[in-house]
Amino acid sequence: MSNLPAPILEYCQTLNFEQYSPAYLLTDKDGCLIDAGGSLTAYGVTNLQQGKPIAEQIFFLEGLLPLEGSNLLLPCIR
Amino acid sequence: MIQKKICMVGAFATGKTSLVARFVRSIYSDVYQTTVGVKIDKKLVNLDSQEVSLILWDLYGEDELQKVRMSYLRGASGYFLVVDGTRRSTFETALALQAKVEQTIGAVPFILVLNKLDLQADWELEEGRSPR
Repeated sequence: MSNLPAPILEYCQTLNFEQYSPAYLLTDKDGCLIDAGGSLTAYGVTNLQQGKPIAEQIFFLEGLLPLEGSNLLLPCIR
Repeated sequence: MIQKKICMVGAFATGKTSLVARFVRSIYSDVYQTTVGVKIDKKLVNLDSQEVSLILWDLYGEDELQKVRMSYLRGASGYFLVVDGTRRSTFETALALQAKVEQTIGAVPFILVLNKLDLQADWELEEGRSPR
């Protein structure tokens, strides 16, 4: 990837951001929110409060955390 | 507040989405719309004068081409296994799914729902008789 010319890398990055709207949530081991960012509004997520359990703020996360080191792929959620 | 994740599991077109729509929004439609992925709803219920928030995961129905992704069931406190009484094969699918779910998330409580009572004349399942 790194041997790609800068304009192509930039194009790929822009495409990714436009198509996938990446966002992130960082929680502690108890599932409380530490940090968040990215395109959260694309998913209707607003007014997050740090220090509060994330499952109380984004209800579909109930039961999913902690991830215990493994990846979890959940495609096509509405 | 107590919050619990509950999943709807079963073969395709057994009525999982309709059951959730009826329970959450008190509506029913005859129009069949297949579920893609998972649709999540929230419903508050009162249990022993305590408010409980049910997080309902309506999973797409399993068929020959598409197996249910077990990662959707992670963290579930229970699940409904939905069977279409007019299609015997959906009972077999439910049994297979139940074994798979138990293998993945352990022995969490589940309820077998025999759906489509209004079409009982067309049922392929008979009372007191094993469908196998």
